Amino acid sequence: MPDPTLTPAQLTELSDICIVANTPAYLFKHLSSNGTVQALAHQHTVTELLTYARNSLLLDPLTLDHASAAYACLVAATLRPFDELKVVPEDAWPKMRWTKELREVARGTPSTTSSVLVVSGKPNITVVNAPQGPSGDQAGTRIVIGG
Amino acid sequence: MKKHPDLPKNEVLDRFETAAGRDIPNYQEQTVMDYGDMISRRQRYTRLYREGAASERTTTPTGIYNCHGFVFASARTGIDGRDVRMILHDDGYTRVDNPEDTQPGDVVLYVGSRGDVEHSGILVKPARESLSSFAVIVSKWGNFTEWVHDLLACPYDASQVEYWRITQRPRKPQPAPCLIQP
Repeated sequence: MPDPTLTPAQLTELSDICIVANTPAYLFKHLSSNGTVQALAHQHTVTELLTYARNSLLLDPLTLDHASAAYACLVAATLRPFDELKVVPEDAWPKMRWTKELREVARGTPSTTSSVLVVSGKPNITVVNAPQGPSGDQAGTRIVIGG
Repeated sequence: MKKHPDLPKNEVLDRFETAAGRDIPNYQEQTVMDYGDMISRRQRYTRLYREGAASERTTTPTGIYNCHGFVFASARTGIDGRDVRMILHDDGYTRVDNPEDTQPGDVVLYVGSRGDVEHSGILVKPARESLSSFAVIVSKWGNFTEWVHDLLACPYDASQVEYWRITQRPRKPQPAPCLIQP
């Protein structure tokens, strides 16, 4: 078991959420409202939670239960007071696919890699926010007329 | 194929682009689920979403592709929900505003309360043709399996659903008339 404080029933509950998650926002919404995650956040420090999360990821191959426990601890850590979070060094956060995004969602500032806004009533005008332009040009926001 | 730069246990396709030539970040996730766990999870979902309202289309869970990868990448890789709007734009999709106008094959998006595209699927049967009076969708549930299900019979928030269809030629890259630095 990745974390001795999590029972098999709790791991099942957590992995039920993690396995169907397609976005970090979905994962955060469901894990942060989960009783087990809230209890973890209440009972452990950020340092402990991130240590649990990192330890859960050591298993190879990684099982769903271990990945779910890691995400649960990560989300629980983001629910801890800001004073505690702000002193955590960057390399203490576990390396998972959605670590950065979950932290952003927790701060209320979800990131975007790209977005498109179609101007109402003007279908030939679009505003594109791209990490990199289609032909490798500079990242930024482009207003495209007739695109 | 290459290893994910930050997560060496995962792999990514070297090249995956929209019709307009923009790079689509992608990943294939490797996690293991034991057989007993898979069976009990399947039984739980079937109970939860009522017999008949959701049925499994594939039986082997995989993290190689997710719902967006099922819809937009022919099940070859996983795509982040944040990139779905870019794909819809570049590939020439147009929103179908009225559910009455939907057709089989339309893309269905479940939009979360934060505006994120929480889930996507493909419309099999519009609500007007469905015995249950709910639209029937085929979709992949995260790293689990593919399901054929009524619009509401899934783990995703169906309070804000969008339908999209390709109606235009893919939008080719155009020289940007102005650039605002972020």
